[in-house]
Amino acid sequence: MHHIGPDHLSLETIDAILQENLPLALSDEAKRRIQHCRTYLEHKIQHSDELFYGINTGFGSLCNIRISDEDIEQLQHNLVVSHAAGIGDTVPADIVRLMLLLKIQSLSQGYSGVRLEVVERLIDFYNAGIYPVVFELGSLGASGDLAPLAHLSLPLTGLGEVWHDGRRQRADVI
Amino acid sequence: MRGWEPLTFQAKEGLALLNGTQFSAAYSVWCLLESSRLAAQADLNAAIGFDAFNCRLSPLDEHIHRIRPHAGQTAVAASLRNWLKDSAISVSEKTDVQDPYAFRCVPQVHGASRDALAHIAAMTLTEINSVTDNPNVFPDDDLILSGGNFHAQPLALPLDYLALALAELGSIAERRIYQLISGQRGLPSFLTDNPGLHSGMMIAQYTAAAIVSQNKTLCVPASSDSIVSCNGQEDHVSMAANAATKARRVVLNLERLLAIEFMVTVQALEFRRPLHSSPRIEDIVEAYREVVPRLEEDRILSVDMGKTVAFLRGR
Repeated sequence: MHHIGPDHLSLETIDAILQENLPLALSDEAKRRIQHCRTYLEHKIQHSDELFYGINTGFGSLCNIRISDEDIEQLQHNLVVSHAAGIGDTVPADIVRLMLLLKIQSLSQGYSGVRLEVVERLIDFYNAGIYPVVFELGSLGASGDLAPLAHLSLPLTGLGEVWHDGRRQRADVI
Repeated sequence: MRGWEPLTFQAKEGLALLNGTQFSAAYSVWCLLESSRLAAQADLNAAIGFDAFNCRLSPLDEHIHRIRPHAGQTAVAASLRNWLKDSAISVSEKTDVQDPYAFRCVPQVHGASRDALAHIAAMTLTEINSVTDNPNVFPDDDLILSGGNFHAQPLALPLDYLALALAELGSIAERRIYQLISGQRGLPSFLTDNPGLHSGMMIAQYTAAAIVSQNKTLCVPASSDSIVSCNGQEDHVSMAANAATKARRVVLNLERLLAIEFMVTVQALEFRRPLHSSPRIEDIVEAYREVVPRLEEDRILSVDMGKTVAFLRGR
């Protein structure tokens, strides 16, 4: 078992996690940080009229368009599906597995504002060996690896495709 | 069914998942893990090559590296000295005053690639232990700040550098192959007992050269490009993702190249009999010959190459 926490992730640690097929779990400290950040963020959104990019605004050059409170979840859904615009060869499963690990590591530091269950679901996918189908082409490496990460995230919502038991399957049937 | 209810992303969650450099970073980590194995393999190949081509050991002497003490160069020279310890061939009489650069300059060339890999590893490690989405939320400071931590330039440049550093390990390996099959230093043309009727290792060098050439085209830096996107809001982009997928191809190509070099070099080494290389090298040669027998007559080299890749991966 490897505990995701504030500890620095080294190449040696990653190699051991992969070679020994270690399952992942969040450390108590990581859980505390994630929850602390989410609680703060929710409180802030509720008690403020400010525009926060990507939270109550559009994305990219649409950042000055305000999104109403009732559309906030729809906005996040639309973001993920609209950005899932990858194409081409599929990314090898061993690299998708690393993407999951690294995304978990980054979100666990407690500066991103996601709920604990989002990070735990990523861990569930990792531990179950269910790797989202991601495509090689589509990222400019600028606003992040948007399209590949959209494909990585879709299956959390029951959309997109995954590799499981050596087969490519729809995410909603696994 | 696992009983996982599909999640509905709430405020910021989709954005936190999509922003970030984890695609490029995952490739970088994968390439680095493979690279450390391949860099060690390149050193072993070169060490066997020193004996196969009957090279002098003086270029590995500590004195030389003490007065140019780059970490990579120093480590590679030590690695080759270690591999060649107690080799009977290496202390046998040498006819040539100097050896070609592909052998003589191994510490400098392999070493520079190692130093490059160390730099790339340092950049990658900082990256994977970072927060790379946006905006960033600082609960203890009551701050939500928009910034640019998703910009993958800190990976784009290293990934291009990684492709270059590994391509150079392959480039010099192909030159050693070429020297070994070219009928010099008492070795028969194309390392076959009966050149003419048999083509021996002739075409193995073609394959190596084709791979080296492809690596060169894969070394055109992705990061030298940038295309304005999102109505001008994203007016400089890193192209790290293209650097990443390209770097992986160079890694895979290098693995194949080093397998071909190993196959050719072991074949050459056996023309030095009855003299032997070091016990460590001869142990590996013996294990390899259980998998791939010496090339006595022409056969399908592709099969030998595939077996060699598998043998070296399993070592």
